[in-house]
Amino acid sequence: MRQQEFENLYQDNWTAFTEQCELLEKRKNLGADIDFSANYREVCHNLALAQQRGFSPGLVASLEKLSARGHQLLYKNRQSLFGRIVHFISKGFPRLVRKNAKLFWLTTAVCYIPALLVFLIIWADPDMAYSFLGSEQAASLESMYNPANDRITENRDIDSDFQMFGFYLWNNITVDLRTFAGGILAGIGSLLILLLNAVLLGAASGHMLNVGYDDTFFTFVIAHGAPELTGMVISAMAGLKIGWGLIAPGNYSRKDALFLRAKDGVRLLFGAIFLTAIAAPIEAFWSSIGTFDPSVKYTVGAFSWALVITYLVFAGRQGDTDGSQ
Amino acid sequence: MLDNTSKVETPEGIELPLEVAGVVPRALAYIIDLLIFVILNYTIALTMGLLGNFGEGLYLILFFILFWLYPVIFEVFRNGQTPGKKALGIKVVHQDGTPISLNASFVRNILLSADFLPFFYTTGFISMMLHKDFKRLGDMAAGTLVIYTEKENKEDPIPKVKPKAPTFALSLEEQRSVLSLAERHQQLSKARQDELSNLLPEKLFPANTDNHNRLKQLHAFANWLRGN
Repeated sequence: MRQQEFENLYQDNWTAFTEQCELLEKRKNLGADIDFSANYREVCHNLALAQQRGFSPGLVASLEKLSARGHQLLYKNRQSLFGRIVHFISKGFPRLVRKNAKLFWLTTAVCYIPALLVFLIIWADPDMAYSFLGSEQAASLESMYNPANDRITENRDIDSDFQMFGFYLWNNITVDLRTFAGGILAGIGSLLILLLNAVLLGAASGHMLNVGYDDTFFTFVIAHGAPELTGMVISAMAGLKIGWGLIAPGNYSRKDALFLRAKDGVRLLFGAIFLTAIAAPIEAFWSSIGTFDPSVKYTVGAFSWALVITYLVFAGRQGDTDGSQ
Repeated sequence: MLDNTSKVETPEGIELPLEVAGVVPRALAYIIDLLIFVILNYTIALTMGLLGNFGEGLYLILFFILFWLYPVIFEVFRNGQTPGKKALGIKVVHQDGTPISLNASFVRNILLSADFLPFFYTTGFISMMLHKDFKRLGDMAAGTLVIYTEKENKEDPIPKVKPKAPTFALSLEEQRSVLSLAERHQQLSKARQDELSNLLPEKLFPANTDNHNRLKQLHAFANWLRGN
């Protein structure tokens, strides 16, 4: 078949297919009797023939363009974003953490062991606090958690609470994102940011205990600490996941390993952001209330930790096994 | 061939060419997006400044969304194009040519901060220069490509002359060359057409044909090849 004959034979199909593409691109439905995928395969077939028979580059290019258009429409993700998010939070994320349990415990150890060590060092030798925190930061912590401080005993107005909410949300999630991004430097960036925060946590806890502000400090941090610290650990875990792909790519090239690990990595990061986002309103609107008895705050704090642990251990154990999104 | 086309094989067994965009259009697109970001940010800051502490909290939330999600929202919901990319006629797709997903867009835009290191996108620049598809680190991790959006095909109808069969069977590549040259007869200068037609096999044309007649012959062959 010559090109002219070929064009005459199929031109109507191509015009019809172009119209179908236009409709789909405007997110409209095709009629029930139109089989888009069959039409698409036919265009692909036409393209293959045109290439094989050496038809003119102009025709080949226009068929390539038409196939590319169909390809984009046929292979796009049609699940609703909202449904995917709900599924991910209720099932996919805790499953993913459990699937990567080893990495989770490793990252947890990297966070809490140095934090505990620094805490013990400062507890044993109070002056060490100034080596870890610096005198300025130590002083600012002291003024923040001094029980005699107005801010502790009186409630802030709701405006300032909201201001702090915005700040926590911006600041903490940005830390999560940077921690993840640091993972691409063979995991070193993630480790550094996590260690830095762990040391800060240990040093602040130790120092507050030494100066006797432990009640105000721990009642403040305990409730939102559960999702926030877990989110921080998991964002580092996500970074290490991609970093490890570069260090030990296994049977893949480093490029491919990076791409494959990043798929789970970004889903871990989404989960970390979810936990951090929950922590922000707790920190801004609950932790800041100083009028409750410490026992109430500790109870709520323990409840918060239990909730996070239960979520990660048990959520999504039952039901459909598809944890892909 | 040495060009910037990346071939993608689809499940239907055909190869789609994607024309990969290089550093310069991507950098220009980024600068446009940066300007838009700065203007939006300034506007929001001014408005929220009127609302006191509450406004400051709201500003931080909006700034967060703007800073991290501006490119993601546009890439996912506007067909792979931020306003800057749209202005430059480029877009982001998965490396298999399918539209970009939320996850992939998120990965490539979060890792923009890693490509920034140590200063002003040095890592991203070096990575793009070394990669055959101009990928920065974020593109490698996300499995994405930045390509030119399809341009309108420019083909002129082949001039109608009486079809004539060549004296010998042309190879596929020769057929394509003849057709391609005939299809572009309005876009190329006369001299360039002569020059290109001289690259075709000598024996295609009768001996001592002048340039003008060579093109006429060429169009006759093209008509014959198309089956006009």
